[in-house]
Formats: sequence, structure tokens, C-alpha cells
Amino acid sequence: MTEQNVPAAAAQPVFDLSGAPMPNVRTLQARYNPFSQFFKLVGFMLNIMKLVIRSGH
Amino acid sequence: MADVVILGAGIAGHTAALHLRRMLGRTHTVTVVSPNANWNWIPSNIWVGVGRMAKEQVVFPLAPIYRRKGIQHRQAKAVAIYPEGDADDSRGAVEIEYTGQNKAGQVEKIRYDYLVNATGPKLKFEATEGLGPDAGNTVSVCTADHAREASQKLAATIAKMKDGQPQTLVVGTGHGTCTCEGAAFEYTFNVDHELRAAGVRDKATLYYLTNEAALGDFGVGGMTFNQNGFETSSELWTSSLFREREVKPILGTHPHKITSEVITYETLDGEMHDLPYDFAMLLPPFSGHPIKAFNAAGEDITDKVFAPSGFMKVDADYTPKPYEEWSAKDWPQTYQSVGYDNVWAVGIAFAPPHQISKPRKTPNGTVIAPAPPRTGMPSGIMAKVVAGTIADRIKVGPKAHAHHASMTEMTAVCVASAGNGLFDGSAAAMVMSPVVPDYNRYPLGRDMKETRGEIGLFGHWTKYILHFLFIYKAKALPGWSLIPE
Repeated sequence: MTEQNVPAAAAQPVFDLSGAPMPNVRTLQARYNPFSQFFKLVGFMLNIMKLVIRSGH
Repeated sequence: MADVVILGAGIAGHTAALHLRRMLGRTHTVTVVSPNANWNWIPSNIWVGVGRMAKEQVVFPLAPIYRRKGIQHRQAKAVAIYPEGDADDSRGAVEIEYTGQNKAGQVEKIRYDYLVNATGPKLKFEATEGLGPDAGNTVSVCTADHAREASQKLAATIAKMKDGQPQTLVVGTGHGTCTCEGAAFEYTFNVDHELRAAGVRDKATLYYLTNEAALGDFGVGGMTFNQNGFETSSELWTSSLFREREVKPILGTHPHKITSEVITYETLDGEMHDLPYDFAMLLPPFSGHPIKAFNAAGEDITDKVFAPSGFMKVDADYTPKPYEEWSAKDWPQTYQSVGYDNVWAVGIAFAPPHQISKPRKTPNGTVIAPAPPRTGMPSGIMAKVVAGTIADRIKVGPKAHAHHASMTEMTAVCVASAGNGLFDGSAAAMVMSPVVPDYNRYPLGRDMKETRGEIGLFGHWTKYILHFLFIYKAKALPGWSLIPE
């Protein structure tokens, strides 16, 4: 990218995210905790199987 | 004896072929026509695109599987269909042009009793000037080869940042009518993950340029989740992810022109903007493949069989009507072609009756309307359902009831990767029930007991498990049919 002939990137209409909630430290730690995430995996897989069995697909 | 021909060997076509072979005796033929020699697990192209997987891990050759299963394979593209037959034979026929098997360029007409159109999308990079790998400006992750090129260019961009040069990266949709925003969402967060892993995130400005009017729309009009006793919108949920990862979203966009340095795009308010960039992965819009249709007299009936987009018309209600009058009943149930009870279209190949997300126009008349996604799980379900219908018609007789699978009743699971890593990866795991909202059945369009979304390491493990599971299934290894779609 040459700086002479390209417009400045400053004027982009970026969507304002300041109102979006930020996860707290506890939530972030929970998202990467292998122990609790393993149980989430099992729960999610069981939920998928339930949906599959119910739909017949 | 019946001859079944399937056009396409993607998720829908390959699924239909394997189920038909399983359901029908060897006295019947199943023939797959595909211009590609390989099968590609497209959801994992995202990981090829950031260099976390090799191309060889997401593709495998179709020929040995088809040989083992007794499925005939023509490496060719369909050029025309004759659903009423022609002067030589009253049976339907497909005209194909070989792309491989040492017959490239040769033309052949193959007869069928039943035809499944599962041709998938034509990647319409030409819809936006300068878009796509051939133009040399932006990259794509739509094919494994595209993804490999994307990973090489991303690595070069990261190398520049390691040398201290700030870089602007743009990921998103390359046209106002694109679909598969989920893939752009995944690639955005995988790029963010790689930038952090390389220790150069502070040198990067990462934009998410999308045709969605709101974050979390995904071409399905967004979702409302039930989370910890509260109703949460997918917009709020994804906004949080973007804020947390410092990705800058630009919404409701239609790129008009892309050069090697600048993306010129219009926003919903009709304003034009120039975005200088160093690396960009922008998805193309899709259309149907250019297949002609002819009647028995040889007259062109393409307009009758296909919608203007090139997708095949099926048992949907295509009556033009305003957005407020759209209904779940408009969506197809059986995927049977209009006018021909032995032809079906599944996956991307069928023409949806309308968008799911509200279509919009800028004051300049530019249409910005995310197209409905119909890839992945819904694609496989449609293929299995149509295979069941065809098998019943062959075994029971032409009056056998058609199997149903409307996207207004179908539940879909979508696992969107947000970074690859055994202990530092994550993915957003979403369950949508149904895919197309039905406001007559549910006040918010979807079943709040089933529709949910969650992000975490477990999501990455889920996507990783699904990668191996679906490749195992596509290879038709023992017990493959027990794995759901």
C-alpha cells in the first residue's frame, strides 16, 4: 500500500460497540477451563443427539 | 432397473449418492456427475485459511470411494438437462462436459429415471469489480485451494507486522447479496486468534465488512437465545465478541470496486467509502451453475426450470410479495422440481422463495440483502430426504409419498470457530430451531427451548470432532450411515 494515493482509513463508519457487554474475568476463565468445558461438550453433544433423534435425520 | 443421476458431489450430492446406494440394490445405477475429483469438508477450510490445517486434511479423492460403493462417477460438469427427453429417447437426459478422467472437453448425454440437482454454488466473483483470487486483490476460503492461498497471504501479512509495519486486514462479504456470513465471522476470529498467537495484534487493524444490517444476523434475521433465564439477541451476543476481540465491524455494505489497495463500498445510507487495506478475505455472492434446460422439442425452457439466479425452482411459493407477507409456508417441503416429478434440487442448488433476513435498498437503489444460507446440516438433511423419496418411488412405485424436510421445521446446529487450539481455541456453538423463522408457531419466530448459543473451548472441541466425524462419514467407512447429517 503506497501512502501517496490511498485515502485515510480514519473515516470508516464503524459500528459503535461501546454498549456491548464485556465478559468478566470469571467468564473468560470459565470459557477456557478444560474441566467445565468437557461437561459443556458432553451436554452439547447429548442435546444434538436428542434433536437428531426427534427429527429423524 | 432404474438409473439415478446426481449432479454435484458436495455435502448434498455426496450424501444423496451414499444414501441412495445404501437404500437401493445393485440392480439400480447411481451416477454422480461432478467437475471435481475431490470431496472437500468446506467448514474446515477456515483452518486451512489461517495455516492451522493442510489442504490434504480437508479433501480426499472421490474415485476410490465410488469404486468401492458401486457408484458410477463422471468427472464432468452438467451443461444442459432434458427433463422430457429428446427425439431419440423419452427418458430424461443430462448433457455433460468432462473436466477430467482423460476426457476433458468431451461431451456425453446420460439418461436418467431420477435426477438430483446438487450442483452447489457458482462463486460469482465477477459480480464485484476486482473481487477474488483471480483478480489478484482479495482472497477467499470457499475452496481448499483458495484457503491455502489465503493462508500464504496472511502469513506474509503477519511477517510484515513482525517487521514492525502496521497492517489493515479486512474480512467479510464482497457483495451486498452474499450468503454464508458465518464463514466470514469464523475467519475474522481465526485471523484475530492467529494475530494474537504471533504477538502482532497491536500492529493490526481488523475490520469485519459485512452486508448484514446488524451483527449476528447471519442471513437468518438473527436469533433470540434463552440464556441464564434471559432473552438475549444474537446481535448483543456477537457485539460482545467483536468488542472483546477489538474487531471493527462495518455493517450493511456493498463493495462496488476493489483494487490492490482500496475497497470502495456503499453503506445502507447511500454513502460511498474507501477502505485502504493490506490483506482482505471477502466472500463472493453465489449463483446457480449455468445449466440450460430443453423440452422434448428442443425448445429452451431454462426460465421454467430455473430462477433468474440460476437456482432450480422447487415446490416453494415464488409469488412476489412484500417482506411483511412472507410466510413459513412459502418454503419447500419435498424439493421436487416445478413440473417434473422425477427431478429434485437440494442444498444451495434449490431456489429459495425469498430471503430470511430483511432485504434493504440504499437511496441509490443498491440492493443489500443477505441471501439465505442452506449449506451444511440443512443441505445434508435435504439430500437424505430426497434419497428416501427416490428409493421409495423405485421400490414402492411412483405414487409413494414424498419425504418432507422444510427449513421452517428443521433444526440446524452451527459451530463457528473463533480460534484453533486444543486448550486456547474457542467456537460459538449455536442451535437454531427452526432455520427459517415461523412467526405463526413461535412469537419470536423460533423455539426458545431449543434455540441457544454459547462460546467456549468446548465449541472448538465440537468443531474438531465434527471435522473427523464427517470426513469418516463421507469416506463411507463402516457405520457411516449411523452418523447423523
